[in-house]
Amino acid sequence: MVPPKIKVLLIFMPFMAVAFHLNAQDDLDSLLTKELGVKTEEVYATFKTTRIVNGHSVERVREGDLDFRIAHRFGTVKGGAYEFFGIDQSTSQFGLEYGVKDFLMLGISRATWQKTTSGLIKLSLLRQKTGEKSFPVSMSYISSVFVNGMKWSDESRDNYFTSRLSYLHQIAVARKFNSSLSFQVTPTLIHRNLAQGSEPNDIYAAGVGGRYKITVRSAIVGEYFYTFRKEIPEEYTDCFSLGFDIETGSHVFQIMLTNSQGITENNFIVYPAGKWKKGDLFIGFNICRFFTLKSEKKSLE
Amino acid sequence: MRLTVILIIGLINLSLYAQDKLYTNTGYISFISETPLLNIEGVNQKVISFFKPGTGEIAFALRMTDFSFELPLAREHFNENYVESQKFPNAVFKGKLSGIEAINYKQAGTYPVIVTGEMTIHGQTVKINEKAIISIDEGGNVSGFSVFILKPEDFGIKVPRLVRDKVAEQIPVTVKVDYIPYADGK
Repeated sequence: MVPPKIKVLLIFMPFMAVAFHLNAQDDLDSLLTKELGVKTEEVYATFKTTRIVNGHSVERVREGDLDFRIAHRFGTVKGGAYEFFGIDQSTSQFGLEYGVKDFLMLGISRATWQKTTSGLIKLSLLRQKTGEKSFPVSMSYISSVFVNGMKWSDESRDNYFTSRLSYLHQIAVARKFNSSLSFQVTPTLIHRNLAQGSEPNDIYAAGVGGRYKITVRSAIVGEYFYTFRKEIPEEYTDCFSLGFDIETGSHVFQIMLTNSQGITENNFIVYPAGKWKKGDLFIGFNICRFFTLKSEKKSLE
Repeated sequence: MRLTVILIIGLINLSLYAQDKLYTNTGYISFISETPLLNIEGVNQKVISFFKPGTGEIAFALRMTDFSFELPLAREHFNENYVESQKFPNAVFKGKLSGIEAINYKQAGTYPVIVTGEMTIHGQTVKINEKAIISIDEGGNVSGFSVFILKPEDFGIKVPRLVRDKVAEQIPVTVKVDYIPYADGK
């Protein structure tokens, strides 16, 4: 009835089906991997906030987020227990910083030193990326204008409003090496329209900063600004700061030890008066509170 | 004559096995953490899934960074502080459906099934045994749906005491997938 050739084929058919089947079973893993592919992704949270310690980090406030910042620098810790290690004397800065666009952040603030009011613009120009089209670093441009609000010390001379102004220009280039370690270099130019005595109008500085995460929510941060200080009184030194970041949901606390009481760049980069060797240091903290004013639209494709 | 019929049926059977791999890359998985203080909802609509009706095998994979949130800060915290996406970029599930014998793929209807398998999130693998529903529409399209509870601590995701009252201990997860036949070699 059934020719032998076909018989053989019939006998083998179930085996063929099983073989095919087995083959198909094995491949789900590789199919998942294949379909997941390698996507280009932006590296997030190189630093916890927009400042490393005193100076700017490469980070910006996200679009639609408002960052209310309170910063305090106390008196020198040399004051000892009588001055409560400087905490009896406080200088402060209050600021509001808003993410207008994903790449653009604007800010205003007011600081005790020289009754300074300042405006800030920060542009996120390049972002570190991983995956198919990876990119090694993030880069931001930071520019501030500081308005000295003190009464003129010499009322008799011609005092122009422009003499109250100084400017900050910084390029922050940072890389998040892994989930714990981030590093940044920050070439800096500060221009003062009116410089004291024989001091130059332009001050150049090179900043380096880093972060090392101890736990997912806390990190040690450090920052150093080398200032090219021709003709600046020798009592001033370079700014070096160490800090500790603690994140609690929508707050970030940064507590620090620094040799500068100034909070604005035209002070702490130019005039840090304390010496680390002599223990002439200042305790300070930054508190950031984030408010989401505009929520992200869920991508309902 | 009879032989030819058997042969043809056999071959069709073979080819059915070959094609019987269903797929999606637009699967939906969401979770919600509800506390009196704060609700946090994450939605991922780029979930990849394979399902083989022939064997009941089912697999899911997704990128943690593909979850979107209403608050941009929540997304950053989710990736940076909780699931640690840089270290553990993907979540994967591999398992099997039981109860699929009852499914008639040619007729519209819904069928309860049980999903068993292993889910890996945050580098930790947990055995899963949950209820799900497979539904077939008039066009013969296959969909899957399931809601179950996950506990972050089962996956080694720690919630510090400071934010304990803002992050739920039990997180309901919703899964919705609409499958299409998978074309190999595309």
